[in-house]
Amino acid sequence: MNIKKISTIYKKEIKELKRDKISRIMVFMMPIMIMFVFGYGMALDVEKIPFVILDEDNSYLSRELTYSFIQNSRYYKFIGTVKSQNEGIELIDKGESRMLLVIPSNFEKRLKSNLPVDIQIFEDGIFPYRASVSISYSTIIANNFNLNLITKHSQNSVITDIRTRYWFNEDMRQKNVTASGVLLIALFIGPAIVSSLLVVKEKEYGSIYNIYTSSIRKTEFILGKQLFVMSIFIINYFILYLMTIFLFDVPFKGSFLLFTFSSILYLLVSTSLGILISTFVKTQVTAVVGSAIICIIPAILYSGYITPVSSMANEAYFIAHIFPNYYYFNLIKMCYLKGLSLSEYIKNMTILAIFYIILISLSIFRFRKYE
Amino acid sequence: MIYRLIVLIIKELIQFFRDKGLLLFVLYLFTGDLYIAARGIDLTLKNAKFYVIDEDMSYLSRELISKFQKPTFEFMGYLSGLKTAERYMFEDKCVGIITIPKDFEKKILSKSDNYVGIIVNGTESSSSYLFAGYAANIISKFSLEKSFHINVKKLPIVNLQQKVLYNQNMDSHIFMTITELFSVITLLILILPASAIIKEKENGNIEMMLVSPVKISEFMIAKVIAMNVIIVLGVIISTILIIKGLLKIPFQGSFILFTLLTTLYVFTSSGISMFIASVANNMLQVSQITIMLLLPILYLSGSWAPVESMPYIFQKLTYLSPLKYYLEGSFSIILKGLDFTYVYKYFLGTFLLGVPVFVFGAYFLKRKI
Repeated sequence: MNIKKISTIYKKEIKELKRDKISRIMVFMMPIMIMFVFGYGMALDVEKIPFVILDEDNSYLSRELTYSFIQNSRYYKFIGTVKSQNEGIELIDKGESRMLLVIPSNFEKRLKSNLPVDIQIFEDGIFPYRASVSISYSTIIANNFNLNLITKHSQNSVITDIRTRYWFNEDMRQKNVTASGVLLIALFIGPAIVSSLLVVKEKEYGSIYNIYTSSIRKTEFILGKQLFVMSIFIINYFILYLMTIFLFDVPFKGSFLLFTFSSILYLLVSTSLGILISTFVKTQVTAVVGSAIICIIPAILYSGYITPVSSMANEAYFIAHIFPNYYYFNLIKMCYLKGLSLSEYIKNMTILAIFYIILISLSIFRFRKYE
Repeated sequence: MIYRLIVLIIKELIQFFRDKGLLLFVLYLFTGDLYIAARGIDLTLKNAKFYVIDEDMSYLSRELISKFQKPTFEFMGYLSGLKTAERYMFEDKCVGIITIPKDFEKKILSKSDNYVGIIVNGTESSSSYLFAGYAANIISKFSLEKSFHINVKKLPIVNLQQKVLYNQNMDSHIFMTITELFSVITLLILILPASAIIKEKENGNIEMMLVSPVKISEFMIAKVIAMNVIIVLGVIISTILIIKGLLKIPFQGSFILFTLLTTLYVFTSSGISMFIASVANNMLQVSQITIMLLLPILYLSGSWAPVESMPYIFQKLTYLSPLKYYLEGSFSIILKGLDFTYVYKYFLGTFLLGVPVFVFGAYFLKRKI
């Protein structure tokens, strides 16, 4: 291997980037954009659910119950009362309300004569996550209402105190996870697309024939290209890291040096994947669409970013383990939130390194210096 | 002229079908990708694994644990102390841990104050909160029931009955499949026309067109139309094969109405692609600009997070995402089964936002070339 030849390829790419004004800005803007959208956008806390009330009883107790819903302005947003169930459901149909609370006409009477009573909520089930969170909020409100009723009723009431603690994320700030997790997405999709384009571009232009006839070896060619993409995205890594700390206030408990190492290894994996993809395709548009498909799904859906890998069903659990993203996300969580455990760090790093070795050897094997 | 346009469109279609790699990826996007998205993810709490540290080991404490049932929870076993618990949590082996203190049974039966601890793994964003909420609900119901020695159903209290409209079982995969389809459509509508145009630019074919009788605008329109046809065909195929066929998602409304809305959305949004083509000079730029535009369009449509939970400014910005109208309209048609008298406003929204986008895109592109 000749370092000089690798650096020639590297310099050539740098020169091309310098000439290309739009790309020069875009390669740095794109990860920042992803950070903004996911960091602010992936708000999985469901809040301010618009709802309407149908109170057929209109008694003292029923008003007390509806009031506890209305008062809960963090989770619910009261829009108004309706006169019939159909009217309420029509508002949900139209998308103006997400929930209808119905209190039956015998509400107070039944409670006063020591009988249980049913109230009903209708949820908009289009977005199942929102519906299930909304149901759990309503359940909590109804439970509190019940506790009040019972404490008024009997003298020696017992309350089981439920002590909830959140480990690794004491205030349960979801931003801590969603913002730091952006590294997982931005350092995977971007590098893969850019590096897949770099090789296919030469194929499509025909300039690859210069490479075919030159004395450069394929390993040198591939490493030169990879080095170029790496140097762009290592800068991006630093920018994103600073954004998580200063813009999103995510705590950082691990070692910055070790985290940088693991991110560089992850970048090596994603750029190798991009180069591997480029050995299979002939046109640039195929390279972009292909690497987007191959990268987005495992990075967002199967990495544990949105749902825990531990609760995935068998098939999905298996898929999550054959992509590198899950392991890097473990490292992210460890360095930002959990604190470092050396044995776990080494374990996940080894797996990433194996991914890298396999992917880069496959790309060198697949890349042909003749056609 | 119409004839020439049709010939050009056919030429584009043939060219598209010749690129086997791209064809394969696009086919995969409309089929396998939707299937994988449907299987992979469930935002509601499912099989949440948990361990128990039970210092009481009484009849009641075991009965309490038996209330944590599948499919919401999955009981993994008992742990001896916090030390192992910490390690398991660190390795993400569970979402939470329930701790039951000594004398739990005795205190419940003697009606004295007691407590139960819930420790939640705070790094599992969506599940952490739901786990805590569901577990707290089970525990408080249980303790009410046990300390009054009677069935909770007979106490003078309020029982909350819930009914979920349009999707009784709260199946996440219905939502996931359909929004994934929308993301696929949006990705392709941004990138396919733009890349078809850029390819001609890069290869220098545009110069050739200048000396031929074909007008450049005709040439561009043909490309855009051809790509739109491919996408609409893809949507129809995946709706019939995957959504209705394989995943058996109930399709309540009119299929024709959905196809019409899709066509309207695809045609108007191709304006964005023309805009990309007018700005970009090579595919690297196309890919970067596409992703820069794609992410906000997806996010602001409300397909990741409900619109009403977004920050105020973002809520207002959602009106700028053409996908918002298409998404809400399509959900109304597919899941709610509403007819045109209800969904006309989504057609109107797609149209009113889309037409200027299309006109501007076409204008920019024409001026640039």
